[in-house]
Amino acid sequence: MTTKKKNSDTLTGKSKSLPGIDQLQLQMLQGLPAATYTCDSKGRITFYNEAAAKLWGREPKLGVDQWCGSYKSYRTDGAPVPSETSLMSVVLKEGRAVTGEEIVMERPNGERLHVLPHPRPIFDSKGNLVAAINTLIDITDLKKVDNALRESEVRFRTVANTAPVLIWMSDKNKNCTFFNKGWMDFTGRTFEEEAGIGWVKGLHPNDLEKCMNMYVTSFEARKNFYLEYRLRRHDGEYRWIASRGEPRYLPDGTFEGFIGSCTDINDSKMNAAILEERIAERTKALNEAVIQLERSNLELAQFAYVVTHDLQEPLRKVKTFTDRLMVKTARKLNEDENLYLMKIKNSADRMSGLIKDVLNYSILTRSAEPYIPTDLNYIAKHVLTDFELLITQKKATVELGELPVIEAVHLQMNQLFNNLIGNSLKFTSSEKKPVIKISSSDVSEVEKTAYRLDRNKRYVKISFADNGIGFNQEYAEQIFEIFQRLNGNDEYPGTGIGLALCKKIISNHQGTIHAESSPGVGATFHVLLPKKQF
Amino acid sequence: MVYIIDDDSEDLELIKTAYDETKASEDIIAFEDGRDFLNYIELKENSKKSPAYILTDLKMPALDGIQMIEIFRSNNKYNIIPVVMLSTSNLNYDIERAYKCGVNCFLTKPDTYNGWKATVDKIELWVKRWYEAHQV
Repeated sequence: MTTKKKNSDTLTGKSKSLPGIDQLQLQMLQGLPAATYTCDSKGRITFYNEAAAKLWGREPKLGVDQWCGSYKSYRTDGAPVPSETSLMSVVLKEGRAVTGEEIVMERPNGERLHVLPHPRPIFDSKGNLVAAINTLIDITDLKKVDNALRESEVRFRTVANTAPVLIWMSDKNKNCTFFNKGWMDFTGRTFEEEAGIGWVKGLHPNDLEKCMNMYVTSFEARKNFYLEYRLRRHDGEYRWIASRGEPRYLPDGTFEGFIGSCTDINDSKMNAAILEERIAERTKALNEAVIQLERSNLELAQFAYVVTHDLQEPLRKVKTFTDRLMVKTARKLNEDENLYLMKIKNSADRMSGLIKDVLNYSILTRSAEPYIPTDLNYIAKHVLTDFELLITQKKATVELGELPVIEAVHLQMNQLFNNLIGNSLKFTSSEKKPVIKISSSDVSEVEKTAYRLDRNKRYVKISFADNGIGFNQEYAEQIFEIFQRLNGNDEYPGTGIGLALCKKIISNHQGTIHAESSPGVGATFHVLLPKKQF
Repeated sequence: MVYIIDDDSEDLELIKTAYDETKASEDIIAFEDGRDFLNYIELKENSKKSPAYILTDLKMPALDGIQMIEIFRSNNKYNIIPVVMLSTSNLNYDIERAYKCGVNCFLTKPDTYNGWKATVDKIELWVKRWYEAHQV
């Protein structure tokens, strides 16, 4: 309010001292929204309007302050402009208008503004330079927007050029207008070569149609796209590229073109292809191996069956005719000769036992026989009855614990118990009364892991412990191999198939067997079997 | 009348001797090939003279005992004729398929001469019982 009052005072009081400007013109100047002021020929400020006071942030003293009403002025490069070298002084000295020189004004509070001055000389009716008038246009806001734009553009280019991908941008006419450094480095071509639709020359001929179709279709539908194609690298190699494009719009929704990025996926694509190929190869090989294995297993079983069957025939003859010879000639032969015949008979009997065991072993597969709930208590008692005579002869004690019911092939369980109990009764120590303990327990998670059993199944452990001659723990695995024997035939006759057969039965039932022993102390066989088969 | 089919001439001799010594059946006709037996039976069909029983081996070249009995049993006329199979095998596998194809009695070949005689006695007794049971 004070400003206005003062100005109106100035206006009325000093109107005549403003040469070249009449009262009406003065009033018009006063009301202008642009900052306007005048100086006399000596450069002293003789008039300023409200907008000028507002711009400067101060009110200069009329007739005292010179050249410009601002507190301080600078050039755009930041160098201070002494008021006596201001544009007004140039105008008054040279009597001509000066335009377009942007300056920076500082208000008393330190705030800086970008201003475009438009100083002009004023002449009287005789043509004498009597004063000058200046209009100051505040372009600060414009400058800010311009700077922000410039900064944004620089930031985009920095990001685009440092990104490890290929970036492109096109205008609304599908012409590419920007490629980042990544792109240029990849193709090794110049911007001029790539610009517009020049980049299309780098496409693999087989991908050209697919790529252009996608580009044009997406472009016209203003839809983002994803496409894989081959692009020629600077070294001439075509590389697989994954390309993504997005339409871009101005804030007001005007479509401006597309922007997109591309990544070199050649290695991963090739790796995936190689990997798939390898997997296919391995799978094929594996399937072939499985078929081969099945075939050879079948052949082996057939072979064993045929061999044992055919071996048995002549052996039976050896036995039969030895028998006939013994019956017919017994009285004519001496003791030695009879002993030889007896040895032939015994050998033939042993051979016969071996063949029967091998035959048994070879036909024992995961057969068609059903897996039914089998009470192992019943099995054990049944087998012990078979061994009754031997148990009495050996004065052996059998401690039979409570056993579970599991899904199993009845006959095979019978065979298993028969072999393991028979084993314990066979390898007894002459120094101790034989004690055989049969017990069962559940299988813990730790044991499951240790023996690589199916985590989702429940297992039982059946242990057969004896106090017989035992064996060295180092043979604990070997004893389950077919024909493996640790003891001499005279002392402990056998075919070396019993435990191998046990192992096969247990593996048919998806279980496992292991042994613990030390010589002279005894042996324990642990059988781990699943409660249910499926 | 006993028809014996066995490719093994030694076994055939043993069986014949055993029959002789036990003085069991009077008539024995032996074949070393199942096809000869089937041909013979076909010719005999018209004479209305039926065999008393058949004693056959299991493992034989060309036509084995099982195949031979299958063909024999395909003629309903011989339904009543008992078939005894004698084999070295004592495998469940062999025993099961023997009974399935129409064998009525499966025995394992003995390995002593006395065993053979005992077996012949057993067979004769069994056949006698068979005909008693199937008497119309």
